[in-house]
Amino acid sequence: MSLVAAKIPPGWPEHEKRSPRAIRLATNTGPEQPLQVFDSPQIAAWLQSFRSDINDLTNLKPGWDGTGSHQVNVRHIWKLLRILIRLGAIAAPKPQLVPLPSGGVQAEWHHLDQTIEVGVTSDGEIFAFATNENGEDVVELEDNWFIPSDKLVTLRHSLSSLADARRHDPNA
Amino acid sequence: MDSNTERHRDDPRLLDDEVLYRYLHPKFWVVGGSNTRRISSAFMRFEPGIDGISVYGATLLISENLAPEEILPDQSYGLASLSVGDAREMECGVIYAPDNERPINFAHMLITQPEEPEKPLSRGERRKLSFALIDRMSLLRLPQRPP
Repeated sequence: MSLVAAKIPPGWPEHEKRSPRAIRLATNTGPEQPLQVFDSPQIAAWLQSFRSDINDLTNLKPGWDGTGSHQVNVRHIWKLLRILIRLGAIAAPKPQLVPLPSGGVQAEWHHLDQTIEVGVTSDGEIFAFATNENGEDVVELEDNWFIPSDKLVTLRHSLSSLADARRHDPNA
Repeated sequence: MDSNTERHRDDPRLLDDEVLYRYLHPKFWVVGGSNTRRISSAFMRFEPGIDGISVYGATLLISENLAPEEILPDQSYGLASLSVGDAREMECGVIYAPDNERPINFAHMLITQPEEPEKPLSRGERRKLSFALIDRMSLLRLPQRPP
């Protein structure tokens, strides 16, 4: 992995004073746009693992899901990844990034009856949904600009229990 | 929604037994855990800013001697079907929506969402509706995923 001097992406001004380290990732807004990361090799490696997913998503052409479907906005992908870091997703199995026809994106985890979905809408709002291992709804967050702390805690717990279940599933 | 739009939300000329085909992008074919795969809720979910869910009418395809696979943008896509009646059972509508984006789009239709502007469906309701529609679908061809 090559680390180069970072151009700070929009929305990350609070990190301007951190040491410049970056992972180069292709986007649909330019040939390559570096991503500023924290001084954590673990987070850097985790972000790097999404490189091909991000390329796949940003390479989708308008109309990829039928007439009127939009390209995924790369800023929404970065926003989603930042949210996932806050949720502790680094310790969970890697989620699948699913494009939304509106231009948003969502991350999904499934294990048997347990489902967790966290996404960013085309307007940049956050939504989330989670069930427990019995398939019962435990989190339902309508489009919002933040995740309330009680839902954040439940989502973290859900991710942790799904990770445990996957670890103990010989077929996973 | 004005009265004109309201009148066209569901087209009564389309019979309940009309078959609708929808192509399935490989990104919607997700790991379900325990070595299984499933269709993402995003596949049939109505999103703000989208007029409806893209489908193709079987009768129009047959009238031009076209197989359902002809609607696929490329060979990586899967193919699923449901009937107009299935969509209406979930209080959705179906309308003709031909356009010139692709030659096959003479058969293009939209499944429209069951809501009034005064009372939009919540995301949770749209998610449940998505799975209800997926449950009624037949998966005719699996999408191809890159290795």
